[in-house]
Amino acid sequence: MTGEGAAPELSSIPREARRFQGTPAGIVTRFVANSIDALVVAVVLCTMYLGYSAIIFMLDPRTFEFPAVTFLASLTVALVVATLYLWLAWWLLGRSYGAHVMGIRVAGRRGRKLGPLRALARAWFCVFFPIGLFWCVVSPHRRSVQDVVLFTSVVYDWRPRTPAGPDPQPPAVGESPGMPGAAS
Amino acid sequence: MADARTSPGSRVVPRVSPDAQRALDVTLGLAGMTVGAAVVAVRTAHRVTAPVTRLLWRPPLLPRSLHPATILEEAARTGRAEQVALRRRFEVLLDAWAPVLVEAVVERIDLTRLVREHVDLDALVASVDLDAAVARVDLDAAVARVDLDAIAATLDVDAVVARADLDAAVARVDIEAILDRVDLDAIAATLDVDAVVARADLDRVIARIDIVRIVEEVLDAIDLPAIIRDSTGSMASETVRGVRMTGVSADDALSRVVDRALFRRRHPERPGGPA
Repeated sequence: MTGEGAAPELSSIPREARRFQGTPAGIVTRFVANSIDALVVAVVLCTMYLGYSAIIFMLDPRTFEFPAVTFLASLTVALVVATLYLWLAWWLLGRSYGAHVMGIRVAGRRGRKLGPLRALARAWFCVFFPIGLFWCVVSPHRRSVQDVVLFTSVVYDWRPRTPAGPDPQPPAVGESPGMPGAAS
Repeated sequence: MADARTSPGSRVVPRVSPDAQRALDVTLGLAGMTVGAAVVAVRTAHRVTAPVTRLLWRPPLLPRSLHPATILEEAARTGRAEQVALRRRFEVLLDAWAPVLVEAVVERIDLTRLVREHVDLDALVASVDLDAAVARVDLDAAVARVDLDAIAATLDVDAVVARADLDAAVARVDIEAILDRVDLDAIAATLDVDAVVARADLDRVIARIDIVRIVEEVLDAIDLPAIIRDSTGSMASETVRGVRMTGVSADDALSRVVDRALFRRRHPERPGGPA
């Protein structure tokens, strides 16, 4: 984290975890984070369903029945919710809840947060092409298809705060986005 | 012809009458004329008798050793030698007797009163070049012979210090110049810090320290609230930390397997990669 020769800084990150901060995250960590995000989306969908049912119940309690949900509608809503969730999370916070739990974040050029457009594009791409994540298994830079296309990266970052500011322009091809001072 | 009157200073002053003074002048004038005539007569006689005298002193027919002049010269030389020997014997006697005689005389004379009455000591001292005299004195040798310890033992130091204006003295001291000449590092190197600390009352020192203020400054410097926010916000519990570390290890292990399968070298930016 700290460049050689710089003044030592106090950090809440454990000593054994400092050496890989800012380096690209691997498939296991990212998959676990995405699974947690899927659970979050599922919880949100359940909450929305229960809220929708509660509204129907309050409107006509005597004839109340749980609303029937078709697979297509459920899938559509789930995809939309997941897209919105990831978009807002990556744009505003730089990481989703699953990434927060696993200590990773999505980084643009020079480790900054994504801008709204690129965050939205990445969220849409990840939701509709989730298998692209597994390209990071064979990628030398641990980049998924979304990372390669949108010039992003997912790095280990156990710090809760994310460098502010959107990514002004996409990084050059082959350049490894990461945190300032990270090994690259 | 002459009388004498006593002056107020008890000194006798002779008074000469004019007749007596005139007679004295005449006598002196006649005496001078007589002496002058005698001198002229002698010079004339000498000039006239000089050839005869030379013949008498150096007769041409006699050997040189029998000349009256040679005999007289020999006698004069013998007399001169006797004179030198006699002077030496006299000096020996004088050396022997002079101290005795002077001692005997001094015993009978009050020299102090004599010097006080007849010697102008102020004029004498004024004529002495005291600076030159002091310059010739070997003060180091003089001080070396002085028993300074004995002198210091007799000093009433308290009284001396009480009379001294120490404030004025210290104000004139150039303390910075003194400190520049002092090798404080060498002095500090000789200090037994352990002994100093052992004698120090650390409890009193600690009691005087404003620990609360120091802690506040430290907390301001390290921004402890931010660290606490980081620690809590990053879910730094042991469980989450363990899950994260497990994920990192799994990522690394899987990357090693893939690299080995693809005959690829470890990428340096990955955890555990080559530096």
